[in-house]
Amino acid sequence: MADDSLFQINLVTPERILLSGMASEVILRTGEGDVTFLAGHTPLVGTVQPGVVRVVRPETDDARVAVHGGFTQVEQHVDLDAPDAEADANGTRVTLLIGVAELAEEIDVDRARVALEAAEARVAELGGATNRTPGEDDEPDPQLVAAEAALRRAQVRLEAVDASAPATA
Amino acid sequence: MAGGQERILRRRIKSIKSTQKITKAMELIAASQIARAQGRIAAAKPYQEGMARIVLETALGDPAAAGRLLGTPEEVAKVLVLSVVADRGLCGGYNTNVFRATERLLTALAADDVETRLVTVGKKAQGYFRFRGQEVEQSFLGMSERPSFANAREVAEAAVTPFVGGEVDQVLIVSTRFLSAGSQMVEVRQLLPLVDPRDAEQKADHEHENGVSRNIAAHEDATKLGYTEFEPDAAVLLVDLAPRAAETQIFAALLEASASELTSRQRAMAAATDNAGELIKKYSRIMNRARQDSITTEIMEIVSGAEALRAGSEGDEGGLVIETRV
Repeated sequence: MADDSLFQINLVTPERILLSGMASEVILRTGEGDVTFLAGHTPLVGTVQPGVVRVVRPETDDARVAVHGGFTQVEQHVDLDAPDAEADANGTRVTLLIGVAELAEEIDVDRARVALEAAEARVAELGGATNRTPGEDDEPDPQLVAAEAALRRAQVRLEAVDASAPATA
Repeated sequence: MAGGQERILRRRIKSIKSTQKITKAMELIAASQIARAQGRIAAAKPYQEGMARIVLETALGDPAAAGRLLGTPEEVAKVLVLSVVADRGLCGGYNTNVFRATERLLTALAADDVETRLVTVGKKAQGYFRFRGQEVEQSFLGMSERPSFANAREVAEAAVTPFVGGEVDQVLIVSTRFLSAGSQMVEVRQLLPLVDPRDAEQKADHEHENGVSRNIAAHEDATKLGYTEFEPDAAVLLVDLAPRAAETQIFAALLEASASELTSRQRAMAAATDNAGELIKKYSRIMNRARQDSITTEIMEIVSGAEALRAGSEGDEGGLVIETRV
Protein backbone atom coordinates (compact mmCIF):
# COMPACT_ATOMS: atom_id res chain seq x y z
CA MET A 1 0.00 0.00 0.00
CA ALA A 2 2.73 2.44 0.90
CA ASP A 3 5.27 3.75 -1.56
CA ASP A 4 8.02 1.19 -2.04
CA SER A 5 10.73 3.80 -2.02
CA LEU A 6 9.88 4.97 1.47
CA PHE A 7 11.03 3.62 4.78
CA GLN A 8 10.74 4.35 8.45
CA ILE A 9 13.37 6.60 10.01
CA ASN A 10 13.80 7.22 13.73
CA LEU A 11 16.43 9.59 14.99
CA VAL A 12 16.54 9.12 18.72
CA THR A 13 18.47 10.91 21.44
CA PRO A 14 18.57 9.74 25.06
CA GLU A 15 16.06 12.36 26.11
CA ARG A 16 13.58 12.28 23.25
CA ILE A 17 12.77 11.17 19.73
CA LEU A 18 14.16 13.96 17.62
CA LEU A 19 12.79 12.87 14.30
CA SER A 20 10.46 10.11 13.29
CA GLY A 21 8.62 9.45 10.08
CA MET A 22 8.92 8.21 6.54
CA ALA A 23 11.85 9.07 4.33
CA SER A 24 13.11 8.20 0.89
CA GLU A 25 16.81 8.75 1.61
CA VAL A 26 19.01 9.19 4.61
CA ILE A 27 22.54 10.44 4.10
CA LEU A 28 25.06 10.21 6.91
CA ARG A 29 28.67 9.56 7.67
CA THR A 30 29.56 6.22 9.23
CA GLY A 31 32.91 5.09 10.50
CA GLU A 32 33.63 3.67 7.04
CA GLY A 33 32.61 6.70 5.02
CA ASP A 34 29.53 8.48 3.75
CA VAL A 35 26.52 6.34 3.02
CA THR A 36 23.03 6.82 1.72
CA PHE A 37 20.33 4.53 2.98
CA LEU A 38 17.49 3.78 0.62
CA ALA A 39 14.49 1.57 1.16
CA GLY A 40 15.48 -2.09 1.14
CA HIS A 41 19.05 -1.48 2.31
CA THR A 42 20.86 -4.51 3.70
CA PRO A 43 20.53 -4.88 7.47
CA LEU A 44 23.44 -3.06 8.99
CA VAL A 45 24.82 -1.96 12.31
CA GLY A 46 27.43 0.77 12.33
CA THR A 47 28.80 3.85 13.95
CA VAL A 48 27.79 7.39 13.11
CA GLN A 49 30.52 9.98 12.92
CA PRO A 50 30.00 13.61 13.93
CA GLY A 51 28.56 15.43 10.97
CA VAL A 52 25.33 16.35 9.28
CA VAL A 53 22.62 13.78 8.71
CA ARG A 54 20.30 14.62 5.87
CA VAL A 55 16.88 13.02 5.74
CA VAL A 56 15.08 13.31 2.41
CA ARG A 57 11.36 13.25 3.02
CA PRO A 58 8.61 12.80 0.44
CA GLU A 59 6.36 15.70 1.26
CA THR A 60 8.27 18.11 3.44
CA ASP A 61 11.69 19.68 3.01
CA ASP A 62 14.82 17.74 3.79
CA ALA A 63 15.63 17.60 7.45
CA ARG A 64 19.17 18.39 8.43
CA VAL A 65 20.44 17.31 11.81
CA ALA A 66 23.77 18.04 13.41
CA VAL A 67 24.91 14.86 15.14
CA HIS A 68 27.82 14.37 17.47
CA GLY A 69 28.44 10.68 17.21
CA GLY A 70 26.35 7.60 17.78
CA PHE A 71 25.17 4.39 16.19
CA THR A 72 22.88 3.38 13.40
CA GLN A 73 20.95 0.26 12.65
CA VAL A 74 19.12 -0.72 9.48
CA GLU A 75 16.57 -3.45 9.87
CA GLN A 76 14.54 -5.38 7.35
CA HIS A 77 11.22 -7.10 7.71
CA VAL A 78 10.44 -5.27 10.87
CA ASP A 79 7.45 -6.70 12.62
CA LEU A 80 4.79 -4.34 11.43
CA ASP A 81 2.59 -4.95 14.41
CA ALA A 82 5.25 -3.55 16.67
CA PRO A 83 3.82 -0.44 18.29
CA ASP A 84 6.57 1.91 17.17
CA ALA A 85 6.71 0.90 13.51
CA GLU A 86 4.43 2.67 11.11
CA ALA A 87 2.77 0.50 8.53
CA ASP A 88 5.27 0.18 5.75
CA ALA A 89 5.36 -1.96 2.65
CA ASN A 90 8.88 -3.31 2.74
CA GLY A 91 9.51 -3.03 6.46
CA THR A 92 12.82 -1.21 6.31
CA ARG A 93 13.54 0.71 9.44
CA VAL A 94 16.55 2.93 10.00
CA THR A 95 17.34 3.83 13.58
CA LEU A 96 19.93 6.42 14.51
CA LEU A 97 20.95 6.51 18.14
CA ILE A 98 22.72 9.76 18.75
CA GLY A 99 24.01 10.95 22.12
CA VAL A 100 23.79 14.61 21.19
CA ALA A 101 21.88 15.82 18.13
CA GLU A 102 20.25 19.06 17.07
CA LEU A 103 17.80 19.84 14.32
CA ALA A 104 19.19 22.51 12.02
CA GLU A 105 16.25 24.81 12.67
CA GLU A 106 16.85 24.61 16.41
CA ILE A 107 20.48 25.66 16.23
CA ASP A 108 21.32 29.13 17.44
CA VAL A 109 23.65 30.33 14.69
CA ASP A 110 25.12 33.23 16.61
CA ARG A 111 25.88 31.07 19.58
CA ALA A 112 27.42 28.41 17.36
CA ARG A 113 29.64 31.06 15.72
CA VAL A 114 30.80 32.33 19.08
CA ALA A 115 31.46 28.76 20.20
CA LEU A 116 33.41 28.10 17.01
CA GLU A 117 35.65 31.11 17.54
CA ALA A 118 36.18 30.22 21.17
CA ALA A 119 37.02 26.64 20.27
CA GLU A 120 39.41 27.71 17.51
CA ALA A 121 41.18 30.04 19.88
CA ARG A 122 41.42 27.33 22.49
CA VAL A 123 42.84 24.77 20.07
CA ALA A 124 45.36 27.31 18.79
CA GLU A 125 46.33 28.19 22.34
CA LEU A 126 46.93 24.56 23.23
CA GLY A 127 48.97 24.13 20.07
CA GLY A 128 46.72 21.60 18.38
CA ALA A 129 47.98 20.54 15.00
CA THR A 130 45.17 20.56 12.47
CA ASN A 131 46.50 17.52 10.65
CA ARG A 132 46.73 15.38 13.75
CA THR A 133 45.66 11.83 13.06
CA PRO A 134 43.74 10.23 15.86
CA GLY A 135 45.45 7.38 17.62
CA GLU A 136 48.96 8.43 16.65
CA ASP A 137 49.53 10.64 19.62
CA ASP A 138 51.25 8.68 22.32
CA GLU A 139 49.84 10.93 24.99
CA PRO A 140 47.01 13.19 23.92
CA ASP A 141 46.43 16.19 26.11
CA PRO A 142 42.91 15.77 27.52
CA GLN A 143 42.32 19.51 27.37
CA LEU A 144 43.31 19.57 23.75
CA VAL A 145 41.08 16.61 23.00
CA ALA A 146 38.17 18.41 24.68
CA ALA A 147 38.89 21.62 22.80
CA GLU A 148 39.09 19.80 19.49
CA ALA A 149 35.83 18.04 20.24
CA ALA A 150 34.22 21.40 20.97
CA LEU A 151 35.61 22.76 17.73
CA ARG A 152 34.23 19.85 15.77
CA ARG A 153 30.84 20.26 17.41
CA ALA A 154 30.73 23.93 16.50
CA GLN A 155 31.77 23.16 12.92
CA VAL A 156 29.14 20.47 12.56
CA ARG A 157 26.47 22.80 13.89
CA LEU A 158 27.34 25.55 11.45
CA GLU A 159 27.61 23.07 8.62
CA ALA A 160 24.08 21.88 9.34
CA VAL A 161 22.71 25.40 9.45
CA ASP A 162 24.61 26.95 6.56
CA ALA A 163 23.45 24.50 3.96
CA SER A 164 19.88 24.58 5.10
CA ALA A 165 19.71 28.37 5.19
CA PRO A 166 22.42 29.81 2.93
CA ALA A 167 21.12 33.33 3.45
CA THR A 168 22.55 33.45 6.94
CA ALA A 169 26.08 32.81 5.76
CA MET B 1 0.96 28.35 86.52
CA ALA B 2 -1.95 26.96 84.59
CA GLY B 3 -1.73 29.97 82.27
CA GLY B 4 1.92 29.15 81.67
CA GLN B 5 1.10 25.69 80.41
CA GLU B 6 -1.51 27.10 78.11
CA ARG B 7 1.02 29.46 76.59
CA ILE B 8 3.49 26.65 76.04
CA LEU B 9 0.87 24.58 74.29
CA ARG B 10 -0.25 27.49 72.14
CA ARG B 11 3.33 28.05 71.03
CA ARG B 12 3.77 24.39 70.22
CA ILE B 13 0.60 24.28 68.14
CA LYS B 14 1.76 27.31 66.21
CA SER B 15 5.07 25.64 65.51
CA ILE B 16 3.40 22.43 64.34
CA LYS B 17 1.12 24.45 62.08
CA SER B 18 4.04 26.10 60.35
CA THR B 19 5.79 22.75 59.97
CA GLN B 20 2.60 21.39 58.49
CA LYS B 21 2.55 24.18 55.95
CA ILE B 22 6.08 23.27 54.91
CA THR B 23 5.41 19.55 54.63
CA LYS B 24 2.22 20.26 52.69
CA ALA B 25 4.15 22.46 50.27
CA MET B 26 6.86 19.82 49.85
CA GLU B 27 4.22 17.20 49.21
CA LEU B 28 2.62 19.31 46.49
CA ILE B 29 5.96 20.13 44.88
CA ALA B 30 6.96 16.48 44.82
CA ALA B 31 3.58 15.49 43.42
CA SER B 32 3.85 18.01 40.60
CA GLN B 33 7.33 16.79 39.69
CA ILE B 34 6.45 13.11 39.63
CA ALA B 35 4.48 13.49 36.41
CA ARG B 36 7.40 15.20 34.75
CA ALA B 37 9.84 12.57 35.99
CA GLN B 38 7.58 9.83 34.65
CA GLY B 39 7.39 11.65 31.34
CA ARG B 40 11.17 11.72 31.14
CA ILE B 41 11.36 7.99 31.82
CA ALA B 42 8.94 7.40 28.96
CA ALA B 43 10.82 9.78 26.65
CA ALA B 44 14.08 7.94 27.28
CA LYS B 45 12.61 4.54 26.46
CA PRO B 46 13.00 4.60 22.65
CA TYR B 47 16.74 5.23 22.95
CA GLN B 48 17.16 2.43 25.46
CA GLU B 49 15.19 0.03 23.32
CA GLY B 50 17.15 1.01 20.24
CA MET B 51 20.38 0.50 22.12
CA ALA B 52 19.22 -2.89 23.37
CA ARG B 53 18.37 -3.92 19.80
CA ILE B 54 21.76 -2.86 18.47
CA VAL B 55 23.60 -4.65 21.26
CA LEU B 56 21.55 -7.77 20.64
CA GLU B 57 22.12 -7.64 16.90
CA THR B 58 25.84 -7.16 17.37
CA ALA B 59 26.10 -9.86 19.99
CA LEU B 60 24.30 -12.30 17.74
CA GLY B 61 26.38 -11.21 14.79
CA ASP B 62 29.63 -12.33 16.36
CA PRO B 63 29.07 -14.41 19.48
CA ALA B 64 32.77 -15.04 19.85
CA ALA B 65 33.56 -11.35 19.95
CA ALA B 66 31.42 -10.71 22.99
CA GLY B 67 34.28 -11.77 25.27
CA ARG B 68 34.33 -9.99 28.56
CA LEU B 69 31.82 -7.38 27.47
CA LEU B 70 28.80 -9.62 27.66
CA GLY B 71 27.38 -12.15 30.04
CA THR B 72 28.39 -12.97 33.56
CA PRO B 73 32.12 -12.97 34.31
CA GLU B 74 33.39 -16.32 35.51
CA GLU B 75 35.98 -15.02 37.87
CA VAL B 76 35.34 -11.86 39.77
CA ALA B 77 38.19 -10.40 41.76
CA LYS B 78 37.39 -6.72 41.65
CA VAL B 79 33.99 -5.09 41.54
CA LEU B 80 32.89 -1.51 41.23
CA VAL B 81 29.61 -0.73 42.95
CA LEU B 82 27.55 2.26 41.92
CA SER B 83 25.01 3.31 44.53
CA VAL B 84 22.29 5.79 43.60
CA VAL B 85 20.46 7.79 46.26
CA ALA B 86 19.04 11.29 46.72
CA ASP B 87 20.73 14.58 47.47
CA ARG B 88 18.15 15.41 50.10
CA GLY B 89 16.43 13.56 52.87
CA LEU B 90 12.81 13.88 53.90
CA CYS B 91 11.78 11.09 51.62
CA GLY B 92 10.94 8.28 54.00
CA GLY B 93 12.92 5.10 53.68
CA TYR B 94 14.14 5.84 50.16
CA ASN B 95 17.79 6.48 50.99
CA THR B 96 17.98 3.98 53.82
CA ASN B 97 16.72 1.17 51.63
CA VAL B 98 19.45 1.74 49.09
CA PHE B 99 22.11 2.07 51.80
CA ARG B 100 21.04 -1.17 53.36
CA ALA B 101 21.12 -3.00 50.03
CA THR B 102 24.52 -1.50 49.24
CA GLU B 103 25.99 -2.51 52.58
CA ARG B 104 24.60 -6.00 52.27
CA LEU B 105 26.17 -6.27 48.84
CA LEU B 106 29.51 -4.94 50.01
CA THR B 107 29.54 -7.35 52.95
CA ALA B 108 28.66 -10.28 50.70
CA LEU B 109 31.39 -9.36 48.25
CA ALA B 110 33.92 -8.90 51.02
CA ALA B 111 33.03 -12.34 52.35
CA ASP B 112 33.90 -13.76 48.94
CA ASP B 113 37.27 -11.99 49.01
CA VAL B 114 36.24 -9.64 46.28
CA GLU B 115 37.86 -6.27 46.22
CA THR B 116 35.27 -3.49 45.99
CA ARG B 117 35.28 0.10 44.90
CA LEU B 118 32.36 2.38 45.58
CA VAL B 119 31.03 5.23 43.47
CA THR B 120 27.92 7.04 44.63
CA VAL B 121 25.33 9.45 43.30
CA GLY B 122 23.55 11.69 45.81
CA LYS B 123 24.73 13.86 48.66
CA LYS B 124 23.20 11.59 51.29
CA ALA B 125 25.44 8.71 50.28
CA GLN B 126 28.55 10.81 50.77
CA GLY B 127 27.70 11.52 54.39
CA TYR B 128 26.43 8.04 55.14
CA PHE B 129 29.44 6.13 53.90
CA ARG B 130 31.96 8.59 55.25
CA PHE B 131 30.42 8.27 58.71
CA ARG B 132 30.78 4.49 58.51
CA GLY B 133 34.35 4.63 57.36
CA GLN B 134 33.52 3.15 53.97
CA GLU B 135 35.74 4.64 51.36
CA VAL B 136 33.93 6.32 48.49
CA GLU B 137 35.98 6.64 45.36
CA GLN B 138 33.89 9.33 43.77
CA SER B 139 30.53 10.84 44.55
CA PHE B 140 28.27 12.88 42.34
CA LEU B 141 26.07 15.62 43.71
CA GLY B 142 23.32 17.83 42.43
CA MET B 143 21.80 15.47 39.89
CA SER B 144 19.46 13.25 41.83
CA GLU B 145 16.28 15.23 41.29
CA ARG B 146 16.58 16.09 37.61
CA PRO B 147 19.26 13.98 36.01
CA SER B 148 20.26 14.95 32.48
CA PHE B 149 22.00 12.73 30.00
CA ALA B 150 25.14 14.80 30.52
CA ASN B 151 25.00 13.81 34.20
CA ALA B 152 24.69 10.16 33.20
CA ARG B 153 27.79 10.58 31.03
CA GLU B 154 29.77 11.94 33.97
CA VAL B 155 28.73 9.02 36.15
CA ALA B 156 29.43 6.57 33.34
CA GLU B 157 32.88 8.04 32.94
CA ALA B 158 33.65 7.13 36.55
CA ALA B 159 31.95 3.75 36.55
CA VAL B 160 32.78 2.45 33.09
CA THR B 161 36.37 3.60 32.60
CA PRO B 162 37.81 1.21 35.24
CA PHE B 163 36.00 -1.67 33.55
CA VAL B 164 37.16 -0.77 30.06
CA GLY B 165 40.68 -0.35 31.39
CA GLY B 166 40.51 -3.80 32.94
CA GLU B 167 40.82 -2.52 36.52
CA VAL B 168 37.57 -4.16 37.60
CA ASP B 169 35.82 -7.29 36.38
CA GLN B 170 32.28 -6.26 37.04
CA VAL B 171 30.25 -3.10 37.59
CA LEU B 172 27.12 -3.40 39.71
CA ILE B 173 24.51 -0.73 40.28
CA VAL B 174 22.29 -0.43 43.34
CA SER B 175 19.33 1.81 42.67
CA THR B 176 15.60 2.11 43.05
CA ARG B 177 13.48 0.86 40.19
CA PHE B 178 10.33 2.80 39.49
CA LEU B 179 7.81 0.09 38.74
CA SER B 180 4.77 2.29 39.07
CA ALA B 181 3.62 5.29 41.06
CA GLY B 182 2.60 2.88 43.79
CA SER B 183 5.57 0.57 43.81
CA GLN B 184 9.31 1.06 43.75
CA MET B 185 11.98 -1.35 44.79
CA VAL B 186 15.68 -1.40 45.37
CA GLU B 187 17.52 -3.60 42.95
CA VAL B 188 21.09 -4.69 42.39
CA ARG B 189 21.83 -5.11 38.72
CA GLN B 190 24.87 -5.88 36.65
CA LEU B 191 25.85 -2.96 34.48
CA LEU B 192 29.03 -4.33 32.96
CA PRO B 193 29.68 -6.73 31.42
CA LEU B 194 26.41 -6.02 29.65
CA VAL B 195 23.73 -8.50 30.53
CA ASP B 196 23.71 -10.89 27.63
CA PRO B 197 20.60 -10.02 25.64
CA ARG B 198 20.18 -13.71 24.84
CA ASP B 199 19.86 -14.44 28.57
CA ALA B 200 17.69 -11.41 29.15
CA GLU B 201 15.34 -12.49 26.42
CA GLN B 202 13.54 -15.05 28.54
CA LYS B 203 13.00 -12.49 31.25
CA ALA B 204 11.99 -9.89 28.71
CA ASP B 205 8.67 -11.57 28.21
CA HIS B 206 7.36 -10.65 31.59
CA GLU B 207 9.50 -7.63 32.27
CA HIS B 208 8.78 -5.63 29.17
CA GLU B 209 5.71 -4.97 27.13
CA ASN B 210 4.95 -7.41 24.38
CA GLY B 211 6.25 -5.08 21.70
CA VAL B 212 9.84 -5.32 22.81
CA SER B 213 10.05 -9.05 23.19
CA ARG B 214 8.35 -9.54 19.87
CA ASN B 215 10.92 -7.25 18.29
CA ILE B 216 13.71 -9.28 19.76
CA ALA B 217 12.23 -12.42 18.31
CA ALA B 218 11.91 -10.78 14.90
CA HIS B 219 15.53 -9.76 15.06
CA GLU B 220 16.77 -13.14 15.92
CA ASP B 221 15.17 -14.39 12.72
CA ALA B 222 16.77 -11.66 10.66
CA THR B 223 20.19 -12.40 12.05
CA LYS B 224 19.85 -16.10 11.57
CA LEU B 225 19.72 -15.35 7.89
CA GLY B 226 23.19 -14.00 8.49
CA TYR B 227 23.17 -11.03 6.23
CA THR B 228 23.51 -8.18 8.67
CA GLU B 229 26.56 -6.08 7.91
CA PHE B 230 28.72 -4.57 10.57
CA GLU B 231 30.69 -1.40 10.06
CA PRO B 232 33.23 -1.77 11.57
CA ASP B 233 33.38 -5.46 12.59
CA ALA B 234 31.02 -6.63 15.26
CA ALA B 235 33.90 -7.16 17.68
CA VAL B 236 35.21 -3.63 17.20
CA LEU B 237 31.73 -2.21 17.29
CA LEU B 238 30.96 -3.93 20.55
CA VAL B 239 33.91 -2.23 22.20
CA ASP B 240 32.45 1.14 21.19
CA LEU B 241 28.97 0.05 22.03
CA ALA B 242 29.47 -1.32 25.55
CA PRO B 243 30.29 1.99 27.28
CA ARG B 244 27.46 3.73 25.44
CA ALA B 245 25.02 1.00 26.42
CA ALA B 246 26.19 1.20 30.03
CA GLU B 247 25.75 4.96 29.90
CA THR B 248 22.22 4.49 28.63
CA GLN B 249 21.45 2.14 31.48
CA ILE B 250 22.91 4.54 34.01
CA PHE B 251 20.73 7.28 32.59
CA ALA B 252 17.67 5.04 32.86
CA ALA B 253 18.62 4.16 36.45
CA LEU B 254 19.05 7.85 37.34
CA LEU B 255 15.70 8.72 35.84
CA GLU B 256 13.94 5.92 37.65
CA ALA B 257 15.70 6.81 40.88
CA SER B 258 14.58 10.43 40.60
CA ALA B 259 10.97 9.42 40.03
CA SER B 260 11.18 7.03 42.98
CA GLU B 261 12.73 9.71 45.15
CA LEU B 262 9.93 12.13 44.37
CA THR B 263 7.28 9.50 44.99
CA SER B 264 8.84 8.59 48.33
CA ARG B 265 9.08 12.23 49.26
CA GLN B 266 5.47 12.86 48.36
CA ARG B 267 4.38 9.90 50.42
CA ALA B 268 6.58 10.82 53.39
CA MET B 269 5.41 14.42 53.32
CA ALA B 270 1.76 13.42 53.04
CA ALA B 271 2.23 11.27 56.14
CA ALA B 272 4.00 14.12 57.92
CA THR B 273 1.19 16.51 57.06
CA ASP B 274 -1.39 14.06 58.39
CA ASN B 275 0.63 13.53 61.51
CA ALA B 276 0.92 17.27 62.08
CA GLY B 277 -2.86 17.47 61.81
CA GLU B 278 -3.21 14.79 64.47
CA LEU B 279 -0.79 16.56 66.77
CA ILE B 280 -2.59 19.85 66.35
CA LYS B 281 -5.86 18.18 67.25
CA LYS B 282 -4.34 16.50 70.29
CA TYR B 283 -2.60 19.60 71.60
CA SER B 284 -5.66 21.77 70.96
CA ARG B 285 -7.65 19.45 73.18
CA ILE B 286 -5.06 19.56 75.94
CA MET B 287 -4.85 23.31 75.62
CA ASN B 288 -8.61 23.79 75.77
CA ARG B 289 -8.77 21.64 78.85
CA ALA B 290 -5.97 23.62 80.45
CA ARG B 291 -7.77 26.85 79.67
CA GLN B 292 -11.04 25.54 81.06
CA ASP B 293 -9.20 24.37 84.17
CA SER B 294 -7.71 27.78 84.74
CA ILE B 295 -11.12 29.43 84.28
CA THR B 296 -12.66 27.02 86.77
CA THR B 297 -9.87 27.69 89.22
CA GLU B 298 -10.38 31.41 88.86
CA ILE B 299 -14.09 31.10 89.48
CA MET B 300 -13.36 28.97 92.52
CA GLU B 301 -11.02 31.62 93.82
CA ILE B 302 -13.56 34.38 93.32
CA VAL B 303 -16.34 32.37 94.94
CA SER B 304 -14.25 31.43 97.91
CA GLY B 305 -13.10 35.06 98.20
CA ALA B 306 -16.74 36.19 98.21
CA GLU B 307 -17.61 33.53 100.76
CA ALA B 308 -14.85 34.83 102.96
CA LEU B 309 -16.11 38.41 102.56
CA ARG B 310 -19.64 37.35 103.46
CA ALA B 311 -18.38 35.60 106.52
CA GLY B 312 -16.71 38.89 107.55
CA SER B 313 -19.71 41.32 107.06
CA GLU B 314 -23.13 39.65 107.58
CA GLY B 315 -25.05 42.68 106.19
CA ASP B 316 -25.56 42.26 102.42
CA GLU B 317 -24.62 38.88 100.96
CA GLY B 318 -26.80 37.82 98.04
CA GLY B 319 -25.47 40.18 95.34
CA LEU B 320 -21.97 38.87 94.96
CA VAL B 321 -22.88 35.20 95.00
CA ILE B 322 -25.49 35.59 92.29
CA GLU B 323 -23.09 37.55 90.14
CA THR B 324 -20.36 34.93 90.17
CA ARG B 325 -22.80 32.19 89.32
CA VAL B 326 -23.85 33.77 86.06
